Amino acid sequence: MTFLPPLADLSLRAQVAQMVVVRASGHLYDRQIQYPVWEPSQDTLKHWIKDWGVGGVILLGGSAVEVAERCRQLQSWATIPLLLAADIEEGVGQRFSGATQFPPPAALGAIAQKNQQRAVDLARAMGASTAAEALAIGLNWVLAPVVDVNNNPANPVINVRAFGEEPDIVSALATAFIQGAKTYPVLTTAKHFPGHGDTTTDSHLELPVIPHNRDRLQAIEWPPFVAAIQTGVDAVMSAHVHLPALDAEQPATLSPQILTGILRQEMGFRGLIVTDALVMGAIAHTYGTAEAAVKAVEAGADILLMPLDPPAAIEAVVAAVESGRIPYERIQASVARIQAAKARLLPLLLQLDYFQTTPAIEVATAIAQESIKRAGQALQPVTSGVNCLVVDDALDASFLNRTCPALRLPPTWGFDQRVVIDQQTALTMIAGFPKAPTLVQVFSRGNPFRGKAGLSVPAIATLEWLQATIN
Amino acid sequence: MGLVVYGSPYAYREIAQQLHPNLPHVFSYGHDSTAQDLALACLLQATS
Repeated sequence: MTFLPPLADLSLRAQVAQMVVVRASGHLYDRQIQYPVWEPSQDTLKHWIKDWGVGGVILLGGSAVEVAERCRQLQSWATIPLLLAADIEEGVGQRFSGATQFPPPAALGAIAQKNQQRAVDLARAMGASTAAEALAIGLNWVLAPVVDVNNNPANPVINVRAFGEEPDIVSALATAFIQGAKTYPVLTTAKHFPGHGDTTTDSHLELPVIPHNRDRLQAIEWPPFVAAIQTGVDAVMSAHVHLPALDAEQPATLSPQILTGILRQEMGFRGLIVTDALVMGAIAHTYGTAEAAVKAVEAGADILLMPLDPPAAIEAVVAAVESGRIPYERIQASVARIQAAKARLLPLLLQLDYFQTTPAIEVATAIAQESIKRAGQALQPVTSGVNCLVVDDALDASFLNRTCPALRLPPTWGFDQRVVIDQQTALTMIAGFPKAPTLVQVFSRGNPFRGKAGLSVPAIATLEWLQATIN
Repeated sequence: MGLVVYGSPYAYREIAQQLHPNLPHVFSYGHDSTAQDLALACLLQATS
């Protein structure tokens, strides 16, 4: 990076501000903001960067081209170069259109069941492609990979975001992803420590409790974190989960025993400890911005991600240092780690033409193709059939656009009557569906709070009706 | 009847076990157009 002032030149407030990463929309204009509670207006964002000197921004929404312009704009406001982060676990295209979308990491786990070396090679290529595309639009911090072991099919928050259900496979694929990403000057992040794989509640809403003891965590949850640290992962993100066996009082994000005692001291992690988003219900509902920020720093976090009110978070930590609650050395150590991480990055170099022929597409397609499961006979064309699409929310289904194969191809095989089912579909409508050969396409990420198999009640009723009527 | 499940392997497992094994059915991890293209192409092919 171009300019990193010596720590001694920064006031306490400026140092603490470097520990805060704020959220912003990837869109440029205020009227495009999708989450007004969490995403500041342009004037506010500029004030936080220019006047407060926050350390970074996490971006959500917008196209690859918009985000590139956004990154250029944000860096131009900053005196100390910003960390620019995004949750791009499934490639840059997961969040920003025009870049490459990968299948969820669980697809690599499925390939590993058949051929682990092939899956490792693809994970490395996915890490490299994600890093290359992130850099091409100005992002320098990849908030991936998820290294949680998803050993609970009812997990509402991790699920297919994890590479797999066994620690060995998750370790192998996560380290390959990190190695691939590290061939480019971006930061990588192993998440969510000390393990979010075995939860049945969603930490976006409330605090999950994990009843496991240390032996179990050492056997299942921790090997991928140890492997990621050995591979040189730059950051570890905390989980908003409560593990009474490790800390009777505090969730992991706010626990000195977990972040400092286990992650920093026992595992010897020397990189950045970043909290998961502090606006999430599991933390925000119990602690407020100020106390959550102070407790997270006390626990050992270097970066406070997405506090609801960044200036209030900064002021609270500054006050805690001034009152003696947090030692000044604690802040210095965190800011030194942030400076060291920033020193490994390069100045912005946008490459929008990169996406015209990005090599990531070949990797993403290989992962999608090789992870498909197939059974039964070949589908036969019909003279008049139904293309039945089952989605969670028909009005929020960006994967179903005018030219997508799910809408375009079935009519060419005779499935030309379209029926769309979502969670709002009245059950009384289902009995009136056409009795004709039917191709059902179910789109689900598996939310276990929506009845059987993570499907909505209308979705299940539709499948049962089809079974009874069409078969 | 034919079935494609996109996204959740757990939903696929649950639905598929109630289907006649001869019915054409496919699972794909992704939701996007590449996933749709590959899964639907697969549905037209007999399993080996």
